[in-house]
Amino acid sequence: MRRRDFLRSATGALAGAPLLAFPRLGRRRAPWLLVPMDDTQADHLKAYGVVFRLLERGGRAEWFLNYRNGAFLIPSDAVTARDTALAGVTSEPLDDGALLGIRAEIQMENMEAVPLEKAPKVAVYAPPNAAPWDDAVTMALRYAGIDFAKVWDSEVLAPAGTGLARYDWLHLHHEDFTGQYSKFYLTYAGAPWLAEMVERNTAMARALGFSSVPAEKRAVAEAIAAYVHQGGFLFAMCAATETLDLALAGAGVDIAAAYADQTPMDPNATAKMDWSRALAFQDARLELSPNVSQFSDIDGHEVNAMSRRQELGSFRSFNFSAKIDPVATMLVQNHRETIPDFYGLTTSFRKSRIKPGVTILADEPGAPWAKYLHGEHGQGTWTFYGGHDPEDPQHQIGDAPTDLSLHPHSPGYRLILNNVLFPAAKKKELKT
Amino acid sequence: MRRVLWLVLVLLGVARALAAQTELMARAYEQERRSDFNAAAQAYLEVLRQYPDNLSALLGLERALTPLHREADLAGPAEAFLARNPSDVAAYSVAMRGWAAANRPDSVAAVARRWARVEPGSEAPYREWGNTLIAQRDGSGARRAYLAGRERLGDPSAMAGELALLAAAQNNWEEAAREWGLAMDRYPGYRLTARNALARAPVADHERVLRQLSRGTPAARRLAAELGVQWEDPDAAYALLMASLPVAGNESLDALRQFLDAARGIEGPAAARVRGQVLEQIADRSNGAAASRMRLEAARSYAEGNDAASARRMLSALAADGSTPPDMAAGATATLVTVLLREGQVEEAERQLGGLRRNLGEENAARLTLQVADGWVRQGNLDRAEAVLAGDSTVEALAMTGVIRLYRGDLSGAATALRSAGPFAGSREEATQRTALLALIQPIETDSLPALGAALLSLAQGDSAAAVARLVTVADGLPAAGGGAELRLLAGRIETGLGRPDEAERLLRAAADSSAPATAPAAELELGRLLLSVGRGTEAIAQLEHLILTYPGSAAVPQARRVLDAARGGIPES
Repeated sequence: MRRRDFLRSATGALAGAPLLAFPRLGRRRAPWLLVPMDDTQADHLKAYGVVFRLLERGGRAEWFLNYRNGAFLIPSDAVTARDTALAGVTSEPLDDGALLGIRAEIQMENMEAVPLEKAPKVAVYAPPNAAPWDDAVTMALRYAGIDFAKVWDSEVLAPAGTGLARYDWLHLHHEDFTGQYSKFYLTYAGAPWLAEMVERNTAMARALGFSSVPAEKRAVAEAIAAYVHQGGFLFAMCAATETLDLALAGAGVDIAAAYADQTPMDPNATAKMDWSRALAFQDARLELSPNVSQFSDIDGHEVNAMSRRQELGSFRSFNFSAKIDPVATMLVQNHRETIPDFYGLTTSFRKSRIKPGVTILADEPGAPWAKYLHGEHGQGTWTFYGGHDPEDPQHQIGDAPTDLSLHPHSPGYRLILNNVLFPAAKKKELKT
Repeated sequence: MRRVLWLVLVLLGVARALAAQTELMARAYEQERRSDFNAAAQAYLEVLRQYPDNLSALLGLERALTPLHREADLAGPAEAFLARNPSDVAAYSVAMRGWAAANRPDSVAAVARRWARVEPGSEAPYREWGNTLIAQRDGSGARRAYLAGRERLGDPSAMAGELALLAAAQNNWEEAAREWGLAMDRYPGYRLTARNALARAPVADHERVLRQLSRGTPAARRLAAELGVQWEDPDAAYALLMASLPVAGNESLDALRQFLDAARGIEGPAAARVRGQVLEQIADRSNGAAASRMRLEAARSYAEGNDAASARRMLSALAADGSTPPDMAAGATATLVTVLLREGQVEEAERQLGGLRRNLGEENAARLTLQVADGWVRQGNLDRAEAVLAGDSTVEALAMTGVIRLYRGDLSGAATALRSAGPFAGSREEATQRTALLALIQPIETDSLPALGAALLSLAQGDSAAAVARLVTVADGLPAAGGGAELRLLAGRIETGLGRPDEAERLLRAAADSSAPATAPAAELELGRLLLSVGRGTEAIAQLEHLILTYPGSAAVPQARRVLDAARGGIPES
């Protein structure tokens, strides 16, 4: 059964009556806590952490899609109540009568109750060293208090069953899967962090038996695509979105500059790309200059191509039918529909380069680009979110990391955390 | 007659051709305005096909091709245009950009060389060549282009500004400094640009930049001095400035003012002293009121730099100068009072203030009166302090009266005066301090407690250790909820500030008494911070969690959550 079909049937059964059986822990304590996600919530981001830790403890929760901007129903046991209080997350005691009223409302409106049953095992793809830029997802996970493991190339390319297969959810951020060091090689020549990055990647490629970093990164991209195909959940941001697809579509084509693999880029590379291998994009034109920190014309904003750089606007998430399409609905749960845009090495995705069948979750009204995409690949799903840091729209290399305690209501970060909980909405093991 | 007819026909033909050309261009502009760049590009190409000398069409074509990522298609039309109009220099840069987009650096260079043959003495072809390559992020190619220009023009300082900017962008700060030195020699007006550009050099390169500039011309050495003062070596910078000062009066004044401009806003006593020295130098080269004003400013800077002797030397010179305007003399006295108070000469400060009070503005006089009263308080002479304030009915004076009463142990009188002063007297920081004092004495039920006054006076006098001992003694005689916990919290904070974590922890744990619920959350928060600062993260987390869960309504909870986030690594360290 496909994930979407499963969710549809599972959530349909839940619409009528509460299936979750939480123990009553005290005579006077209301059996439930409702965690509202509208403007009454004191800390939207930490609410996801409360739910995640509940699932980690073996507890269960429900996600009320479109009800008070994506509220959560959690049991009011002592541990959960304590965790909620410590996190400063707003919660409202709820008795069975009130819950019944909410369920009735959910049944009648464009809303849905999705059970959350198992905390996904989360992995973040990141090199062991600290890069001079930050990863919004890592920051969001740390702020919300969600545990994660760090994986890099050796783990991704480990034999079947020992690498990515151990994780349910994988995040990619700033990585350049074309193996060109984000095309900073010439612009930042001499910078110590770049020298370290080159050295570390070269050593890893050599240790894994590859002739060059681009060849090794392509193998990593293939392994990630295989992981998704086998049922994994992939969430990528910034340059990882675009370069993953370029690496997949560029199998057998030299798409890397000479500094990366000692051979010049194939001048006809654009014509030789096999887009059937890519997850999200098609028909893109590759950036030929090794000096421009840009990979192709997939990105609509082209932040590093000075003459073509587009100004930042705002993007708007779409409304989906919660009962028919709960997956897309989950991914756009938010207390704001319109969100200020933010740059990244890849900021947005030109609609003309997006494959048919890909779900556009958010775009900039009137602009020819989308911001937030979702699609299926084999048994798994992927979500691409353009940009680098939702609360630092013009993040520069070396800038201080964002302090999320100053942005506890960040709607841009909420979209990230929706993705973390999304794999929890399934009863059985994710990998098949 | 036939000749006239022929001329009319020719003119009519020209007019028709011009009208057709204008119409084609208007169509192209309209397509461009509507952001239909494909159509606009086609339209401009059509103009160029029919009218190959139309430069506006060529420039329009570039505008249309850029958003289409087709800049490479520019090269052909630009070359065709140049073949017919080799002296039209604007088209050379268009051709360069086209070849650059097509990733043909050799062709870019060839265009630059052709342009240089048209304008043999000009830097423009090489500048455009280099800039085109910079736009392609080809820094090393750009450097070669600029150096080719320098060689071709036979001028070792040609293209120096461009090379300096490029070197800085490539983190080669030593070369940037050398090139800026050359550029300033060629164009003295570059000095400010050079200073702003080199000021961005990373700390690790500061020494190399200064060494390079110090080897250069006097102007370069003065630039080294201006950078040196910004990079926290004010004394060495001043010495370098004086060693490279021009002899001519006006030029030396300009150099001193430029240095002063660079030194303004730099914090710390050394920078303030150096500002005083420069101002004194400027005063020595000035006359009349301008000289007086400079000496007054110099005195203030010396005072800020804790150089009381030099400050007094300046002020004495002002007093001795009969031409000093009265308002400036009053300003000098005000500065002198501040200097004397800083030296602890309160008696003399009070005498100086009394002598010139009428010449000071009301606001200045009131401010200095408070400073003199504060000086007496610091010396423990509360009677003299109150005497200075006698008759002063300002809210600031009322606030200080409240503080003096507190130091005498008159809690009731202190509370009345501090409340009367309200939140508007003095700075925001002073208002916050008064509120803290009120919070400190509020739970204490007795009206008079001289021992507490003595403890707080010790603190005001800077004797923190004695203050802690006295506060603890007073706290021991009070119930926790009746001020004991609050005094222990204050003592714990002082111990933390003194870097004595063990004593601080003992006092803060005692202050975190559940029978004093108004104090306990703040004490627990302070304790959590202390434990975190000494590497006892697990205990800190437990303490902060206890605070949040036990006192959920306390104002300390949001701060506690933030500290907790930091302790768990949930937010970056600030």
